[in-house]
Amino acid sequence: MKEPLAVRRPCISAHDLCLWYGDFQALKHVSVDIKEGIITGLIGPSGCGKTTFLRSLNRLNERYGNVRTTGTIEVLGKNIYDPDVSLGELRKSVGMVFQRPNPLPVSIHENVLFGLRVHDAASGQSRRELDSLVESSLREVALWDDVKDGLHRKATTLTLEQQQKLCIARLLPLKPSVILMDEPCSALDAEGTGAIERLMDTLRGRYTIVIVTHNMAQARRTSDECIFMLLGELIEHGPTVDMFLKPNRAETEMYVEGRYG
Amino acid sequence: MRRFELELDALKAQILEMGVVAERMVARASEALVKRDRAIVADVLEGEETLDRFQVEIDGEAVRLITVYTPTAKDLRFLLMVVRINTELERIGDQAVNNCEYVEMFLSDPPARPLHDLSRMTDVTCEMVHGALAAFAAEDVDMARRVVALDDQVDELYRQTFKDLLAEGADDPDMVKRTMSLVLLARSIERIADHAENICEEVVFLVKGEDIRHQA
Repeated sequence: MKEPLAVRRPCISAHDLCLWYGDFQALKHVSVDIKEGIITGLIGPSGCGKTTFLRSLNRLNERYGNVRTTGTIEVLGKNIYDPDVSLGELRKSVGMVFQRPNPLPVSIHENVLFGLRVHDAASGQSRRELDSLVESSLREVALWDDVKDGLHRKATTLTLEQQQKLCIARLLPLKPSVILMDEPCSALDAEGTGAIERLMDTLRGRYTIVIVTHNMAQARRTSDECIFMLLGELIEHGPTVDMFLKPNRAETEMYVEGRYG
Repeated sequence: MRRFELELDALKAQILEMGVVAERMVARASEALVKRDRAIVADVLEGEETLDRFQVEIDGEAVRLITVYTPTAKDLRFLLMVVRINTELERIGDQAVNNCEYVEMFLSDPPARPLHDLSRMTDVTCEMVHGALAAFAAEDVDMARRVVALDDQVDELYRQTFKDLLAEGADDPDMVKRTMSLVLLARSIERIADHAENICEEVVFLVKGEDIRHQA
């Protein structure tokens, strides 16, 4: 990475973020700046709030009902909880990749263009332009060579690793600033995990990536910075090397050493 | 206690055991000088073989623990520092063996004047080696910093001893061999103090993750 971490400007800024599911408070006064163009790992034991925090970043939690949020989250300077924010536009710029690959039961080609069609951005583009967009998106996730001769095959026939790459490729035509990943390798074997991690490496710098992972080795390998959460609170945030070599907080030390959680 | 923690404890005990051997070698080499006793030299040389065995065993165990457990945080710092402290102790042992060689050179001549500064230098250096190991055992940063501060005394005593010995040698050409052996001995003791200082710096990194080397 050419630019030192310390001088990168924040892409996402949460200020005093609290979130309740009914009476249960899942996030407690979370304030953090997530830097632009790097990979930030969210780590912590099950139930610590990391997935809830991730889902707050594109307001996906609201789909679950009975959710109340206070505080603000700014993405590139705009509070995403402002009343004038369009959820559709927000999710275009803040894309999400889930634990299990979720390709649509249509062709590979249509999967890549699906986001554009939903957002009505495909109309007005020629077929050649759309084909070119499909190719560049699939190339960006290192899937083009595998599927170029079968773009009209159903996406569900791909291997899980290829499906997950396709799910990432599907976000790219919408030109997101942020890609959220919720344990993107948990359904994959070691080879598939390696492939997704290599892909994340190539996306680094062009997108701000936030990844939830239970796999400590993956957090160490892939992320530039880590955020450690415990019982809904942000305990520590810093460069990954520091978090795993000389964490500041005893709770972080116990967790990364495997003595907690 | 988890197995990994038990294995870390065992490794620490092994380093401390190695430290006791190294510390004793330094003290015994000085004793050989004071008592003018060549028999002590054999004892020091035996210690070197023990240190070499420790070094190989400890390095092997540290590499195994890093490989098997992929440690993080303090466990990782501990294992990294164990490898370094292991090297420092082995070098302290090597210097003690060198000291014996210089003592042998010196003993072939009759005693000159009392070696007050050299004796004081040896005492402070032994105190530093002991203190460094105690700071590692207790993982005590304050103790480590106090030991680091003693190195200035050793350096000053070395400068003074060096100056005095040169002046002595200049007066009497027959004294050259004796002077040379004592200069080399003083230099070797000064290096032992440096290794003790390094161990203390490694203790600070182990406990706090702070690199205090080359800050003077």
